[in-house]
Amino acid sequence: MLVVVRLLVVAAVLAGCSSGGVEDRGTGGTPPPLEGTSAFVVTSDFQTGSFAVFPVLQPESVARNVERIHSDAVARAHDGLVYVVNRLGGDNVQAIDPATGYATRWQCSVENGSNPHDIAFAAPNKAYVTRYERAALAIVDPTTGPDCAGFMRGTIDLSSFADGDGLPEMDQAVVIGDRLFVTLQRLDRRNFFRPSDRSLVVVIDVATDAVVGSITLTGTNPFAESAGLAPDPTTGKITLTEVGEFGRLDDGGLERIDPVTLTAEGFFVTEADLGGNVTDVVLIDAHQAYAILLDEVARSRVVRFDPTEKRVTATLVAADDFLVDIELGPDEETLYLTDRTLRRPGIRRFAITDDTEIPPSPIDTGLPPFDVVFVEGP
Amino acid sequence: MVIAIARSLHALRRLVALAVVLLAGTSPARADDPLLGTIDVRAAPEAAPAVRDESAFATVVPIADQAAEIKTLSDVLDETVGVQVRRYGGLGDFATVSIRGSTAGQVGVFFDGVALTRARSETINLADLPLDQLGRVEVYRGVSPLALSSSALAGAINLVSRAPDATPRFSLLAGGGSFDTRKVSTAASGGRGALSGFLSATYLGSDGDFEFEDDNGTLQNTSDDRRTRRRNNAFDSAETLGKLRYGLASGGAVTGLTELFMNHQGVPGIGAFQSDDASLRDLRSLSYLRWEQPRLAGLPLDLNSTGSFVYERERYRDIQGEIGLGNVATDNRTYTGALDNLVASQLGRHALEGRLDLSGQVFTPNDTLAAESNGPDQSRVRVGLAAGDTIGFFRDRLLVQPTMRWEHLHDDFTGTTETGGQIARESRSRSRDLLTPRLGFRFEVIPDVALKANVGRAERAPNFTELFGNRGAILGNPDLDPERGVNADFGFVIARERLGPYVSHVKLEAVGFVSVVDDLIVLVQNSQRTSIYRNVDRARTVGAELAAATDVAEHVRLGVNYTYQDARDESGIPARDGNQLPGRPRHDLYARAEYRRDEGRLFYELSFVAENFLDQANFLVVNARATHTLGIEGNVAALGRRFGSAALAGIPLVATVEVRNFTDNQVEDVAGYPLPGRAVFGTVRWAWEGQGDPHG
Repeated sequence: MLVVVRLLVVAAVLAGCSSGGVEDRGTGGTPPPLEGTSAFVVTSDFQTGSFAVFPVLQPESVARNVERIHSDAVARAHDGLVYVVNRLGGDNVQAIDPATGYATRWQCSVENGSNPHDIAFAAPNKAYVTRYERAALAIVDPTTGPDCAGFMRGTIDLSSFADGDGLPEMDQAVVIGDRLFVTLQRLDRRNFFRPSDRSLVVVIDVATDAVVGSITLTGTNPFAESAGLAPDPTTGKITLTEVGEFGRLDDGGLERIDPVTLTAEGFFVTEADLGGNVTDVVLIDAHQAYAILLDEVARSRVVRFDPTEKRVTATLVAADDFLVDIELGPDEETLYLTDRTLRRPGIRRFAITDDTEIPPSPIDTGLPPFDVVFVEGP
Repeated sequence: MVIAIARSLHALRRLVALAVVLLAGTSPARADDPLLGTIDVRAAPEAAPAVRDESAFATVVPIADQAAEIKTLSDVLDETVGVQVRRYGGLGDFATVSIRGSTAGQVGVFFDGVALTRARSETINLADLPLDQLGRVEVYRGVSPLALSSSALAGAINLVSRAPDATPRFSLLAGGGSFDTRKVSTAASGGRGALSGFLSATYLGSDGDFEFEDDNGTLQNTSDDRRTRRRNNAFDSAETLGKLRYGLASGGAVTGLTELFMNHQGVPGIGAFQSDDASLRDLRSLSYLRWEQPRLAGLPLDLNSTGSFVYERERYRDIQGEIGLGNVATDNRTYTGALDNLVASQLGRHALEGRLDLSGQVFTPNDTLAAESNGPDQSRVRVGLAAGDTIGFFRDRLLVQPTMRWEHLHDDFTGTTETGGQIARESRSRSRDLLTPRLGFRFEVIPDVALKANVGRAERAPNFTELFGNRGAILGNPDLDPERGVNADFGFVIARERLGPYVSHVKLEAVGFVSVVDDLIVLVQNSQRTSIYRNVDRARTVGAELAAATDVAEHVRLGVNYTYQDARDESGIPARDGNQLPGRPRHDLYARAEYRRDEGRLFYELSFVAENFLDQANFLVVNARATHTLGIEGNVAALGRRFGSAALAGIPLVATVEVRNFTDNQVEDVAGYPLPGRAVFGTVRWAWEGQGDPHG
């Protein structure tokens, strides 16, 4: 009976100590003091998500794995906060405050399964969230608190723009003046998200939330994995990367749309000119630009190209791995790349004056980087 | 927590030490050959048949003994030493198995020796496999013995159907319980002359609507957390099995079996976003004809030849796109035919074995929503040759067991998937050879005490999905190398019939093992819309297993299975290199105590799993948890006899009630997929047994 007693003792000990439950023990990296501009890097291995932060002038001072976010997320910096759009499976927006050590100020759902893709701000208390798995655009209040009271203000029905599968696949958004511009990819989700019809940019009056127009694009599938839409500071026009069908290199390119006349101006560079699907672009001037290209067999390159001459002038990086995002740094002289190379992932930086890589490289972000935005210090 | 684990380990060490001291101080009483098999903590040792491998560390779980409980194969395997089961939900939900820290795809699964592992994907859903129709489950840790027709990198599980019995028997079981679970099972067997047969049918279903804590997908916001119910998680499954055995005048036997399994279930998705519409329908038809002939043509040669055919159909529908991106409706079929041959011969001190196996498998995918709905078809032809010897020295006290298996695989596919999901109708083929050498030792130190050691190498060929991709977002990589593993283990087995007046049927097994798998195949997202499989460095697992069981005072049976493992990712991928492999806890303990009399039994089960990670980055930790089960069983006839009720004594009914996880400890095995908490199940079993055929 001694054995029985011992077994029961072991059972009792185990029962007393073991209550189950799931904890997050991976995050908690201390971010550096907020001085100057910092790079906020969304990191993920597509199973677990977090973010890293480093001052752009001290890239060796990286705070890694600062806090949990969803494993599929993009970030937008706006008015001193970072808004993390947690996509399918997270289905929420997470406001992170750099002034409080990058703590989460609030995290609010935009409906489970809705797959939010972007957020665009019209006013301090009004923003729009595109939802890839819904036909209605969400209107939210970013001034909400931790309890998310009043966060969801309403929706705008875009189902009339849907293709045959019933969803318009709304993706990126930007507010210019009193108008919201939303890209509608209109892909056939029954057929591996191939383009099924012309893609659109729908235009919405932010005062009335009414649809006031739409722009039919020259190509299809206006795509941006992590970058948002932004108007060109000199022309005011929006540049779109229209991929068309992935793996096919003759049906897409770069196109500008005029937010005033609501017209698409046609491709100014085609993917045939550059030799790949263009998945991200940074325009410097009329003769210098950078793009991430994807070829027929899913190899990626970061190239410099001449938009006027319509030709690639240099290849900065070629990889069998996922190159996600390029961004022009706040100094407007440095190109940032989120490089997800399997064995050496990190942030890589290039001087746009001569395309040389800037050490240290790559900057280790803990989990592989996915998206980078810049946050101004106080 | 650490203190608690240390205490439990200390208690275990003392338990083991106690058993060893008791064994050392008692006169030997040799059993028939109890050292061959290992320990199942549920059944009396005499019920365990011999394992078909002298040096292997293997567990044999008799099933017929526990038919009155609502158990699944997942439950049985989870209780076995060296094995971990990862569940995506409760009863009937998807579940995978790992042996000694392996991936699910590195475990070979067989039914009566017929391979169930598919070339499209080796991962087997345990929920699709039967339990009631089985006579036993064999778990081979670290090896796939020569008795099985193909190699497996980490170990093998063989589900052995019940043997036909000449004695007429019939049983009917009905039961149910929490979450509207219901079960009906019937079995009959009998024989006449040289012919005997077994027939069984089982229905098992559940609504699966257990409650769980939903975080609404907002990890940093607890104000929107809520208690909710699992939706679209119901399943209905049915299985029939018929088996006929004809004894030949030559001393051999011919056995035919046909098994049909059907399942229709909802696919609920993650807890934070439950689907309402996604569903899965499975159908499996397995048939074989087996000829067993000892002393073939008068020669000292035993033959076991099996021709088998397996048809599987899997229909998955997610036309609302609730589970992942995109709308999906697939109707995939797999056809497998095999001819497996094993010959064995005893020549002097050599017990020789040889194999010649041929098999072919065709996988025909069909995406009913896609513009190009069919294909590309994929097929694999496999030729296997194997030879082994068990050499006895010192009157068989020392057995040396070298084996070598060679397998040639030839894959054909009628097209490849390109970046945009398009099918390029260009035929390709690929051949490769796999070599599986192994050396095993077994040394009987003294009667009832044996040392065993094994070292072996095995490979897992890339499967169709890894080689050729699928039509969605996965690109094929025909250049993949096989995963290559080296397994080694060393340990001892002690088995004693009696230890003094009160202790009997004592078994103790202790094993240390190491497993290294190189060229691991992992899925890597390589572009905006595509992922591809690649070889990376390795995974390494070091561990120890302890299994002990004994009967005390004839009415009490105690057993414990404990596994320690340190399973590490050494893939060379910076964010995960050196991390603990997810779902592989360092400590895993199962213990069972049972008080049994003719009138019934009372049992208690403890399952303890140390903290482990849900993700490769080792951010998400599932805290250590213990779950407890209590059960009681009553035998109406025996109770009637005890209390002098002739009416009750004539009723051959057994009733069982069990409360599982009675402390309501709810956790997850896989991130986002909640598991059920407390559950109550009950069954009533009526059994009849007639007189055997005196000429049978």
